[in-house]
Amino acid sequence: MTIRLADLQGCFEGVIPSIISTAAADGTPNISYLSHVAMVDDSHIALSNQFFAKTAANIRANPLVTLMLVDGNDGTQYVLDIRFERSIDDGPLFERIALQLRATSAQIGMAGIMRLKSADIFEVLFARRVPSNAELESEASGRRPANLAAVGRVSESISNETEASGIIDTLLDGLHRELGCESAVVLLHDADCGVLTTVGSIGHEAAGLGSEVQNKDNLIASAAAHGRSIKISDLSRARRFGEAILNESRPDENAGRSIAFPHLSDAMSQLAVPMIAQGRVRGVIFVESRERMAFRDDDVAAVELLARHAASAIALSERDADEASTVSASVPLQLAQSVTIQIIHHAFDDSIFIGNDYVIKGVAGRLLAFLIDRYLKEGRRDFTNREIRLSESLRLPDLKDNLETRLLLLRRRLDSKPFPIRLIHTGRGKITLDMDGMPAIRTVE
Amino acid sequence: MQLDQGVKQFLKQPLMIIMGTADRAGRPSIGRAMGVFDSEMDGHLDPVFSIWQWPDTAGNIRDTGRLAVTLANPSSYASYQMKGKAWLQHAKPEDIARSDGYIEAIDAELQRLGVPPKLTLPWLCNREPLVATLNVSEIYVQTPGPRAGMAAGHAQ
Repeated sequence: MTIRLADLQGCFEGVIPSIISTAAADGTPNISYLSHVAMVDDSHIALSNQFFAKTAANIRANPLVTLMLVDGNDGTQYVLDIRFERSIDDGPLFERIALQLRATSAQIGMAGIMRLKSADIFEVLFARRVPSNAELESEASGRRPANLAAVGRVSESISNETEASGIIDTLLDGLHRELGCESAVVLLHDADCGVLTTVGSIGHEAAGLGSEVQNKDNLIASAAAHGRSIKISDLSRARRFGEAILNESRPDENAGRSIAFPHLSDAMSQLAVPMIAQGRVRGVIFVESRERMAFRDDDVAAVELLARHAASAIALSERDADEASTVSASVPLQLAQSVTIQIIHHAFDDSIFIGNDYVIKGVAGRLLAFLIDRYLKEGRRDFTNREIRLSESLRLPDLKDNLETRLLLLRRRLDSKPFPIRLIHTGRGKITLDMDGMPAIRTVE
Repeated sequence: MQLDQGVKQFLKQPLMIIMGTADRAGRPSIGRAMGVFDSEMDGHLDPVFSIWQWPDTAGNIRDTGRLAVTLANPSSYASYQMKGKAWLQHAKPEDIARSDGYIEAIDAELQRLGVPPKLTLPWLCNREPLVATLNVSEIYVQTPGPRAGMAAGHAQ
């Protein structure tokens, strides 16, 4: 039976190390493990050129090379006769391999050590399956492809939503219920400070709203930086290295002014998909599974479809929200005058504490300080996105495209704990401040 | 070449073992060994492998008398490559028993590291075993890191 490279998808996940054997000009064999093999087309593969010097020298002296790939689903071994063609050190294929290698390296605590300098392209002359005592049916071949009808249903639901909150919730619910993702997180991108902030999650003990991802070497930040999906199919190696995956420990929010990122502590597979609209990365969808190799190429394509749709819908909702220009006065609030809500605004990072409890920092923190200040000075509780965006006192970055989602983040963060202050969404592009007492805000440098 | 104590200690750990050979035309080949043991001769090792699973490895050793073996600790990634002349021998009952013991030990080690048994089943095969006695003449460090590729081991 002829084996096609397309049939070997489970071998290109980097789960089980591949093996490369070469021979010197005098026939002396050499054999070593190999970190990354990528399929180029039906008859070519690319190897990350991080060979030992002897392997590299042998390939130049004798282009006949033998490779062994192992299917990460069932352990089936394949031997490929290959012939060296050329090296590449730029272009889309090189970037794809470099990005995946970088993400994989970071997961095993070797970020910066395994930088890709070039990739070698080989023609595949022949591929054969190694005989085995274990003649088991491949689980991969028995798995059903991603359900296009389910993707269609989620997409339709997203189409019916008009506001960022509904779009994000529908997306998360669809990923969880229709596509079977055990957990999912939506993060939105702040281009000004290069931070990705969690605005919604599903399938975790703690929602982690407001948690931030900054480390450029991790999966999520890499997907955003490069506008490409990245996956890890077996995290057991990372565990062996004892490396923390994202924020393994739960930080003390109040001491560290940071919120724990929501993730599965026992995840085996991770996938980060950029949310791209109008050519710009708006955020990232991060999904995890406790299964090894949970995300195949068709699963990735399904999440990518929904990511693009949701990104476009959010961008559109931002524009619509900005059009609301008038507010209807809300019912006067009967504040409990005897109760004072002590709020501290730390100007250096715009972090906000209510009492001793950390709320949020950054632009969202500045927004909350602004709203409370307006209330104290003008007695107003009702605001529109438009006036907030135009306010010069806010020193806001260009929020034209993501003010609505900043306010959504702030609103959800305030709802996530029994804070005495809440934001009520009163209509498209409109919010009302709701409080259980009289605020007293103090700004400290 | 005699193996120093460091290498001898390393060989006592549960290791993944791969074998590289080449035919007379320079086409390389790959095989897995199911255990590598001290030979009766100093400076020699006896990897056991399945001719049923790796017929090219057997054919190439028979034709060229050359073999490269890389041994890697699946937990620490510490690795060595050993090269030299090699020849084939039938596996004696004690070789088969040692190879069976190796399969049991490496299977347990891989499971401890989170590799499920269904994955290792196709690799751990010593059906129709042969011994490829290797006269070690070169040893290289293959552990990823600054010493990778350096010669290791020396005459004692």
